[in-house]
Formats: sequence, structure tokens, C-alpha cells
Amino acid sequence: MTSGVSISVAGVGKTFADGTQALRPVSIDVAAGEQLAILGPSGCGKTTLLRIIAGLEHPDRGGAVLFDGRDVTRLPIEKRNVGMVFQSYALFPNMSVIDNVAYGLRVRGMARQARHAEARRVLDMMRLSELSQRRIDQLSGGQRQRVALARALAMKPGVLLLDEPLTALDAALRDELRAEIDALLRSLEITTIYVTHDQAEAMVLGDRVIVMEKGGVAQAGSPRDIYFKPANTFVAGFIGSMNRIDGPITGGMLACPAGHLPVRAADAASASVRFRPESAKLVPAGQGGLTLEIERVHFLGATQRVYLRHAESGLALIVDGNSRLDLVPGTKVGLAVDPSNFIML
Amino acid sequence: MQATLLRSVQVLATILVTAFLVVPMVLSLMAGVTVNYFQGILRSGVTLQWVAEVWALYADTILLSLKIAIATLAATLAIGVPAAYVLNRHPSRLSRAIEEIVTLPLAIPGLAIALALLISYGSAGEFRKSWAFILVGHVLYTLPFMIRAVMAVLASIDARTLEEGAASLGAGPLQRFLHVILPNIVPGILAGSLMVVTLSIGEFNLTWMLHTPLTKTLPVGLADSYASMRLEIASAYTLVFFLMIVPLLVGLQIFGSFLGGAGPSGSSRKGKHP
Repeated sequence: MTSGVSISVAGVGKTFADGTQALRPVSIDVAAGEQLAILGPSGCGKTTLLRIIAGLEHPDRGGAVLFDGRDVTRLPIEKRNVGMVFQSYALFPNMSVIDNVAYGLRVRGMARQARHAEARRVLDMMRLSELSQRRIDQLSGGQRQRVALARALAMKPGVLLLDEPLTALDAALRDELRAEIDALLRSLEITTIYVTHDQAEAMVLGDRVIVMEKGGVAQAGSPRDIYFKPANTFVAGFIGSMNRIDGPITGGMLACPAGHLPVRAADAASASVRFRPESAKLVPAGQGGLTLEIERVHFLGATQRVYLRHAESGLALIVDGNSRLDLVPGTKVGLAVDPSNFIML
Repeated sequence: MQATLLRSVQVLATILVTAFLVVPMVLSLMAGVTVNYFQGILRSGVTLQWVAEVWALYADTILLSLKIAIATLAATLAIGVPAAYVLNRHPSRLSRAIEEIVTLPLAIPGLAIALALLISYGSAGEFRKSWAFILVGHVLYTLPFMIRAVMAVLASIDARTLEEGAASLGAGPLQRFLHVILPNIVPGILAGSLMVVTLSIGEFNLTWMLHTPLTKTLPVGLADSYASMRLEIASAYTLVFFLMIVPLLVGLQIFGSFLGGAGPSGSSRKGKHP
């Protein structure tokens, strides 16, 4: 297949006719062949950004979209050679699977036999061959999703844009297809922008993740950076689970009602430290800096999630740990956190 | 025991309702082939004399009705389908207002529409005298049915996303409409066509006001025959009307379910979900 094009988004914002600003001007560069995930809650502007890159919406004055350095800002989607997978798939009910997949080639004037041969090749690649004569309403959700992807790939786009492609599917199928799409896209080396509200999808599929909030970019970075070094409290709270303890810091010790914790920070009258549930360790009561009571334990198989509570102050923390440890709700335990695992925001 | 009783009541109710609907129709049709209605069909016998007389007297009204129905259908297709498409694709306060205005003729008596047309074009000599005058009335009256039927299907297929999907594959506006939108709204177009044709053929209020002695349609002729001819002739006229409209409706339905089987609804074929 063709190698991808690079994308440059410069000062692209979007204000709708009713005056609401869906997107504050953002600038993003996506390298050729890169897989970029745009992650954020609904209404954060991620779909608007994707639709502007696709050519389905025009940005506000001053914004520009460039493919391989060429300005495509005023080009409609049909002239941009982008493959797009829609949340609802947008498969044509009046056409069979193979005619759907071959449609992009049909519009380009390729003869029926040639375009069907090409479509069959893509269907083979995605292990959909036996479905080629089916009608769309005879397909399951997962099959429709793969046909939609096959249809987008059949026209060898330079850019593949996916708008919440797995949201309509159930959890098990989502995991399976996520891995499948990742393997496929990496083998094709196509530039991909993947919009999702699911952090696991974003982390698996994105070489780089852009977290969006309220029409702006909250953070851009590798999945690792986003997770371990969140740029602000929104990213910290949106990605994964996060514990937070508030209190004054004196002489490298954070004081809170449940005890003291050593931190690497300057003295402050009031501070917040954050840490991930898997960065803390349970120890016998009295050891470690904090003492809390086990409220409940959720066994998850490989790990278990322990909900801790300090009754007097109401401080609640969660800790993920070894599931072989048999913990009884109601008992008191100690909590130790290595100072290097704290996230200070 | 109780279940049997309930079942009997249900069957009885169904028979009564059916009889209520069918009996007047059957009696009217029978009157059309009775030699002398006042003596009854059994004593006077069966004849096709009246049907032949109706054809001799009113063939032109029947043909005119068909001509107007087909022209009305053509006009509502040409205006209604693109209008529904535009209203669906560009939703705004203005489009909703237009939709309401287009629907107004449904709520206004046909006589009032006819009066408005007479006031507007009554003095336009040749136009006033031609069957096109009636055609305009029929198009005004039936257009909302076409627009509504097509808009309902457009809304149900999520036309906007389908079109965006086609555009992402490189299809221009005309290709998108012809390849993706049109094939998927066929059921709505057929439902609308069915309404338009039946309404046009059966329309009386408006037509009665608009017609001239030379532009009588079937229902106007029917009224004329009721008023001035033997009851048998009027009934035979009804019979002719049925013979015309029923095959037409059945034909359209069969055509519709045939296309529906290949279209998006797919109700005629069960989907397989492995």
C-alpha cells in the first residue's frame, strides 16, 4: 500500500453559526505513517478537529490544514484522498459488501472487474472474503466495523481517519478489534488519526496521544508521558485512576489526618500530591507512613483493587496490588508510597 | 373455556368490522351490474349494459383522470424528492418553516384551495380552460404527501452520514445523490407515489371547483352521473373506478415490495448473524 502523508494543522479553530466555540485554535503536526490518537470526553472538540482534517467542516478564518505541505484547507473531502471510518460506519445499505468496498474505485472510474478484484484483495487481507456477497443488514456489528475499515483502505488513502470506530461494539469485541486494527495499521504504515473517548484504545493505538478538554489541547505526548507525567489536573483525572492527598509540607514530609508521607518537595502551607493506585504498597498497620482501614476489595483476577478509607477524616484512597493477598475488609493496614512515584501538579 | 370464548368474540368482531367496510362497496358494485335496481338483481338479472354505457358516456373523464394522476405524480416527484432532500440536508428554522407551509394544503379544505386558485388564475383564459389548471390544484394538494414520505425515509437512513461516507470515498455531490441517497429512499418515494396517485384519481372537492365541462375528471363525472343518470349507471361507474384503481394499487404495492427486498428495509429477507 501507499505510505502515508504528513499532516500539519495550523491555528485551526471552529466557531459554529450559533456562536459556540467548539475548537480553540490548535496546531498539530503528524508525521507520515504516524498513528495519532485524539482522546477526550464528549464535547471536547475532538470530533470537530477530525472533521476539519477530513474536510467535512471548514475551520475558522486563519486556520490551515496541510497534507505533505500542500494546503488542502478549502478542498472538500472527496478531493483529499482520506479514508474515513465513521462511528455509525455509514455503509451503503443498497450495496453488497464487495460493492461497498469497491465504491471508492467505482467513483474513480475503474472498471467493474478490476475494482472487484481489488476489493476482493482487501477483503482477503481482512479475512472478510466469505462475506463479500452479503447485504449490510446481514452483518454483525463487528463485521460492519471491519467492512467499513476495508472500504476506507481499498482506495489506498494517504490518511486514515477513525471517529470512535469501536464505540458501538461490546467490550470483548472491542478488545479483539483494537488489537487487529493496530496490527493492520502498523503493517500498512498509513498515517492514522484515531478519535476516541476510551483511554485504553488511545494508548494501544496511538504512537502519540493528544488529550483534549473543552475545545483545546490539554496535553500531547506518548501514552507513557500522558499516564505518568500528566500536564495538569484534568489529564491526571481523566487518564486512569488517581489518588490525591492534600496537606501541608514541612521538612520533606506531607502531613494528613491518616499520617505522614515523605515527599520530594519544598515546604508549602497547603499542597496536593497524586499517585497511581499501582504505585502504592500495602504494609502491616503501623509500618509505612499512613494507616487506613480496608473498606472493600474488588478481585479482578490478575490484580485486585483495594479501597481504603480513613474514617475520621473521610480520606479515601485506592491501591491495586497482588490478587493473591487475602485481605479482609475492616482491618487496618499501612500504606507506603515511594517518593519518586508522586505526581506533583 | 374462557380462551375459546374470547377467541369467538374476536372473530365475530373482525367479521362485523369487515362487513361494515365491505358491504356498502359490494352492494354498490352489484347495483352496477343489475338490470333494474328497483326490482333487484335476482328478479331482473345481471347485465354489463350499464358498464358499456358508462364507457360510452364517460371514457374521456376516465382517461383525463389517469392523465392528470400521471402528470401529478411526475410533478410531485420532480419537485417533492429534491425538496425533501434539501429540507433534510439543510435543517434550519427556515427549512422547518418551509416544511410547515408546504404541509398547509392538508389542513385547508380543497374548496378553499380551489377558490384561491380561481382568484389567482381565473382570468388566465387558456390556462383556466385547460386540464393543467386542475393539475396545479392536484400538485398543491398532493405535494405534502410526497415530501413527508420521502423526508421520513431520509431521516431514518441517516442520509447525512451516508453522504459523508460516499464523499470520503471520492464521490461528488451528484454521484452521492444518485448512487447512495436515491436507491435508499426508494421505499419513501414509492409510498409517496402511491398516496399521490390515489389522492389525485379520487380527488373531488378541489376538482369540482376547478373543472370546466370539457375538463371533467372521473370523480366529477361520477357526481354528474349520480345527479343526472340512473342509479345503475352511477354504480357501474363506481365499478369502472374500482377496476382501474385496484390493479394500479396492487401493482404499485408489488413493485414496492419487490424493490423493498433489495433496498435498505430488507424486511422480505431475513438477515443472518453468524
